[in-house]
Amino acid sequence: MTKFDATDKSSHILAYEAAYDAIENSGIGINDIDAIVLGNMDFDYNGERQRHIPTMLSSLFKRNIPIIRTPSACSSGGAALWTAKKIAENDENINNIMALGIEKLSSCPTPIITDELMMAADQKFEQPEGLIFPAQNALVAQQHFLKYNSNADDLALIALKNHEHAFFNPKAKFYKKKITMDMIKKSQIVASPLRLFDCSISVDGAAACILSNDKSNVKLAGSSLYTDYLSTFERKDMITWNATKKAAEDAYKQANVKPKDIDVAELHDAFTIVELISYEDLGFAEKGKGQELIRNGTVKLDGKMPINTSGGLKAKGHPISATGIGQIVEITEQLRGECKERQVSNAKIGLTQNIGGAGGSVIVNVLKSS
Amino acid sequence: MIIRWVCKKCSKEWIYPVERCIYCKDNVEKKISRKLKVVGFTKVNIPSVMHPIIPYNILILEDENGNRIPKKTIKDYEMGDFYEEESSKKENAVSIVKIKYDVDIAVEEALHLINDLDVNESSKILIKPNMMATSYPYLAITTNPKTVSAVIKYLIKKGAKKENISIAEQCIYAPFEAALKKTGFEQLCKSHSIKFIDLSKSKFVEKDIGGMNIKITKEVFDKDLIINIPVLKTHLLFGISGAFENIARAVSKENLLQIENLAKERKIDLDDVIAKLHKFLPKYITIGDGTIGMEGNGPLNGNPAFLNYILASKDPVAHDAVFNELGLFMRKSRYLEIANKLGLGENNIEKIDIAGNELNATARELSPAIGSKLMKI
Amino acid sequence: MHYIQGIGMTKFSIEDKNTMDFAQEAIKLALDDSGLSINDLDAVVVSNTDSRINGERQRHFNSFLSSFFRKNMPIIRVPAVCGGGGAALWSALRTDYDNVLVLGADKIATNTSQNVTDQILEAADKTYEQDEGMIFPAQNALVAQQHFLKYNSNEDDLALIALKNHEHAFLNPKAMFYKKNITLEKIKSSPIVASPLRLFDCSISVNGAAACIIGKKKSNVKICGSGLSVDYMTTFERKDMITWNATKKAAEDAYKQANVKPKDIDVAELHDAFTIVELISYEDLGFAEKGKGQELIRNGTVKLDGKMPINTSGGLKAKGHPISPTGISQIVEITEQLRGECKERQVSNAKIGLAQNIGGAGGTVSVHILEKC
Repeated sequence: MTKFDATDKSSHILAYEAAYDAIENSGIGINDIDAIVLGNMDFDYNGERQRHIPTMLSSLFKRNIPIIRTPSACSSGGAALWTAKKIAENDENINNIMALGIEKLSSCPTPIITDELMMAADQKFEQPEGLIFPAQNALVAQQHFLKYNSNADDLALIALKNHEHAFFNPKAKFYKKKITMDMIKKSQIVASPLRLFDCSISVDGAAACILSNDKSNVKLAGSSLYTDYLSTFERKDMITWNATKKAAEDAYKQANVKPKDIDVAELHDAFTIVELISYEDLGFAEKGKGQELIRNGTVKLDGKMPINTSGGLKAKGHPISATGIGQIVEITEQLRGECKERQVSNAKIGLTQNIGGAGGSVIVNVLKSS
Repeated sequence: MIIRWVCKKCSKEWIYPVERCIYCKDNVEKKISRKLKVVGFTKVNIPSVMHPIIPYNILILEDENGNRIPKKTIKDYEMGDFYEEESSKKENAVSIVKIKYDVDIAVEEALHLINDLDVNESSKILIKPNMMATSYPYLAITTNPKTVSAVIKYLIKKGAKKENISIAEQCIYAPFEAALKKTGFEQLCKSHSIKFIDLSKSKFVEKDIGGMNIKITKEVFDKDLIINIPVLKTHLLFGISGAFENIARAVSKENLLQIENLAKERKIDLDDVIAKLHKFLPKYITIGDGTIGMEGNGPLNGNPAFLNYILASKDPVAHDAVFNELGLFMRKSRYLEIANKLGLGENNIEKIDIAGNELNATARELSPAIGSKLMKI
Repeated sequence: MHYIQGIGMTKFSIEDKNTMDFAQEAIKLALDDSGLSINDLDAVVVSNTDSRINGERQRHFNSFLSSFFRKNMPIIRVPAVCGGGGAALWSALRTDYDNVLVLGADKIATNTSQNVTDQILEAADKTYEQDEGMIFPAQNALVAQQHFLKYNSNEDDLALIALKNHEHAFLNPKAMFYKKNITLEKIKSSPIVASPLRLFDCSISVNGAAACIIGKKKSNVKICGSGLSVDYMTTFERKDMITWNATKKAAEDAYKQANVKPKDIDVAELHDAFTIVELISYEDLGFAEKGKGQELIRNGTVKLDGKMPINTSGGLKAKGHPISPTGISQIVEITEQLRGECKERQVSNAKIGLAQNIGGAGGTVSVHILEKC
């Protein structure tokens, strides 16, 4: 993966760099890649105006192979991986497949970025009512605080944890940048009760991973994708994201594991509240008790089940489509023992969770050391 | 011209700027070819948003190695014709060069088309970019460091010494140090070992420009060559912000704020002042930074326009007049006519020599600056 | 192996309805045709464009559909500009579910033609093509010129192709030009859009939706070959501007899987976004030798009463080209031909059909072969 940061490189050059690294890392030559699945979004205002990037990849890699796109808002990367796995399993001519996530959106004024991302919300009920994504998640946070004994301090603890982790991650936006609890709690309110430091930062980046039917030391034991209604208000319970629950259930079944078997996980903390709710939806804590995991330190680097050792979306950066694959890169490195100062000892089973919109589409992957 | 990125070892070629070959992991070098022949052409009769002026032609040009590139022209060509962009020796020439992934090559080409710059190892050169605010380069409020870097590389290539090159600007609306960092100029100066002069701290010379005493920085008066690198933007007061608006920051901060206040109270004619000011400035070269450019409520509140071209000219009036035309703005900036009457340059498009891309092949509608209630000054 | 369980499409038109309205109509028709209910669907693969000119501003369309189906199931989006429908089908065939709905829905026509052209232009390379005015009619015009220069084809051949497709669409109730009589005169005297292509050489942008449900249960139409390949985005970068490698490779794969040869094809739906593309496709798909595509239209082989009728639906030219649904609408036509449901445009004894869907100028090509069983 490339470093997640603002850059003036174009999307397809970021893709080339991420793919180059993956090729080097795997030892598989570019000639042996049989297909590519790309996750990226179509933006109107970043000046790139490229809607057919698969063909640019064909030109960059000089291959005539199947290359398809699976855009899905913030879960494009996860969708690319899930689709890649399905294709490699069911097409006998495809043995090695690459899943790529690329995004370039940060070189635009902020109101424009917020507007582009808002288009992943409902066109009639949410967008006209000013429901930008921080606001969507702020309302979800409020419902959780009202029903259970969670509060804004728990969210601040989650942000702090992720920043402490990112401090050690050379690919993270906040690498070697010290963020204190004071900075987090005093940051400006974006959409009450969420502050600036509750929201992930939009950056550019690309990440790639190569899946193969041939054996290696990390196995993709379970991968599942589910969708839910686009708008949180339409769902029965605003704070239980069914897509996560169903995808997790299915992925655990495929991998033959239970939630407590997970040693390390990368969750989709686009907003700190999402990480909190995901603890519950993924089965790591009972409904309404997610905050206990951060309060008692279970999910910190030195805890029983470290979560977001890469820094998560909050502190690593959130290049929309590249995120989903970036999570796979982190868990793979954890299972291989390559994480240096942020290594979780004895990590054998890892999980990634990638969410699109406000729980509209969710992909859960379970990886195992083999 | 056709640029290809070629792997040194296996000779695979790319039309995109890759750094290393993904096949043999070796380095990639740039290959440029200029001898181009027309092997295909079509005349397009329907307008589209980016290409409103019709009819236009699209040529397929091919070099000796069989590499091809499309080119938009207004002029008609026949199969087998050679395509060449000639440099112009006229004083009022303006070159327009579209950027094909490489800003260095685009700037070099733009200067080559206006008959190059005459520099040597003893030339004292001043570069005047736009650093008026603390903002990231992608917002196109300040000059893109990449353009300035390309100019520096050109000067060194032509024989100038980096000790004799300096960049000068003042930041009116923000602290100098913060602006230097965020706009990318600090990093630029470090990488090229070139000094950045804060004009607000320089010595000034007083001149009477006709009813008003203006302090102009001494830095512009003792140089062999001045290169003005404005960002191509719209401007609420002037219509467009080009060479004239950018070089105006060679005037002291107090004077600039004074002029701004008088203009708000409608006690002076801003177009008149900015044109008259030029009579007392030395001659300079203008390189218009259109790597991104701004449209809408410039010079501070507009949106990136993604122009993707570079302009160059030895005549600042012609340069600004050409940009005025390229944006298809209804309003013709008044200062251009006043400057023309004062003998400072050519503002009549018919009389200006355009080199490189044709004007009508590059023009597209940009949103003008009309103001809005939500603007921050 | 997968079988077609159900098909459905809306009429292609410039009706100003929401994308979701078109999609609903197509989905209902497909479900009715299959006899299945929403509960029987295991997954959905949808192809649509994130269009900025239809005013809907709706991204994350796969999640948006979840609200319509009122159930949690895997839904992914597989757009590929004009080749999205075929790419979606190719992807759906490679999931292992029992019943998958493949949907294409787009609303792109209801805006000024300048904006529509600009939206479609984004499928071309920004630096080399978009900046040089290479709107799609121009791209294909240059390809046509190269073919004319090298072989003995000319504009009259293109006009004959357009005429054939209009004659077919006259009989197709779902086509934009249904019951509209277009003469050769009208075609040949239409204004030049990008020389040498005229207005009637270019397909018309419309709104619409098409859906098909594929599944493992046996039915009377089997999908026996599915190939997809991607080539460089720009035609000028390729070795030969008039041989589209992606078509050749995708066709090769599909023929191999289906165990058929080009001459076994009884009826085909080709991607005539521009008449020249249909001509070149005759050659790239193996129906004619390189440089001899024009003979097929001159001797009537590809007309409704010929040996291998092509684009009996009217093709993109006369049926309409709503970008993403196009690929699926081709599957709908071929299925109806194999089932014998095409009435006045029925090809007698149609047993094996082919659908070719292209994205960009030969950038993404999918070829699907269907068989009657």
